[in-house]
Amino acid sequence: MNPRTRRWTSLGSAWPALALTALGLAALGLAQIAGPTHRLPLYDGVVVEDPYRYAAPAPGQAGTPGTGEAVNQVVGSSSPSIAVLTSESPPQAQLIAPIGAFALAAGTTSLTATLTPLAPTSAQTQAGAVGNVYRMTVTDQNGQQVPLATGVQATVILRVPDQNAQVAVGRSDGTAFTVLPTTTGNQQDLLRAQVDSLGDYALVPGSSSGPGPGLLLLAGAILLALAVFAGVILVRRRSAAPALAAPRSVPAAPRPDKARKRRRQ
Amino acid sequence: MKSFLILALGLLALACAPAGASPAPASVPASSSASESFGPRPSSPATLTITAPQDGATISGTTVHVTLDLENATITSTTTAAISPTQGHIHLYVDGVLTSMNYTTEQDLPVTPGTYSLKAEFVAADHAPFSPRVWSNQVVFTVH
Repeated sequence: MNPRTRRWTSLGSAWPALALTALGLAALGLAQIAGPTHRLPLYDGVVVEDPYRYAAPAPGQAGTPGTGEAVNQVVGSSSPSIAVLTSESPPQAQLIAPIGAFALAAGTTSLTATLTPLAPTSAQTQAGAVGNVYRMTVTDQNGQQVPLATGVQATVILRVPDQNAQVAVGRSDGTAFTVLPTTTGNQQDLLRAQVDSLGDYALVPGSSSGPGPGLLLLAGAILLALAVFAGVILVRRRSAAPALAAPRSVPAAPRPDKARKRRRQ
Repeated sequence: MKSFLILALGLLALACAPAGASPAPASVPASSSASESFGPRPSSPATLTITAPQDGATISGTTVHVTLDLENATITSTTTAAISPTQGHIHLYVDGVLTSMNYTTEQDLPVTPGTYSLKAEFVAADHAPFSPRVWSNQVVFTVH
């Protein structure tokens, strides 16, 4: 056979695959053209987190962190509840205070809570600050600082920029940090601490405890249930194994309808 | 030949996959404006109020029972792109984090000891917000 003809003949057997490939490529192209790639898909259960935004971003890091401000009117003599969050999703900093948490001077009509992201100073960086330092203040209608009432604590929540970092919430005195007892919040990268004064807070090297006792109890109960389930299966398998292996010594009784037939015959 | 055929079938399968499946899923930012993230959005006459827990409430246990009052709109269990200003879902935010999406005005949320902020949003049936966003009042509660 002519070598040229032989090449065409061998190619001939690959024609179905080539046709399928061409069909696939064409369908791929059509899907890309007709598909709604430019439209946002319906919510599918995944929340996309904003990147951590740095007040002094290094190359490749996102900048322009959000601030937080909440103005609350004072009714009566107790301070209102305050929850102020920065604008990222999830928020990078939060301050939450229950009703009556602040010591109000007479004539206070409103409280303004603010969260301001700051780049760590060189002393704070040397002290190990991770991410931004957040200045948390509460002022009255005249701009005067309002302190927390004696014996009352507020909650500070800071988002961890790097989930692998072993950090805790720390209070800055300008140069050094006091590490506070820290727990994880309702999301693994949100760390919570109870504070008895406002000021500058940041994440610093330290450790945080895991979920609260409720979740630990639940996890323990699930593990116990799994262990019991596995035990039951194991026991049932062991007790079923000899019965299956043993030969049948007693012949099966004839079915009643068959016995009736035999009697008639 | 066989591997070539498999490759061809793979390409065909890839082509048949929906083109919209690869881009990032819709994000649900807690604080930015609706039009900023989702393009032009309709407004809604709905009003949403958290009726329980009350602001300043102290709770014992491992769950908090949340009840809401929704007016001028109804909740639909259907997720669809054909949205209406008076139909939608409820999103619950605890400490600014989207914690639950549900089709009722009552829900039990798991909690651990601490002080929390709770806020709810009425969103359209495609789970994206209206513009302006329909937020509830914010409550702060403490769990012992």
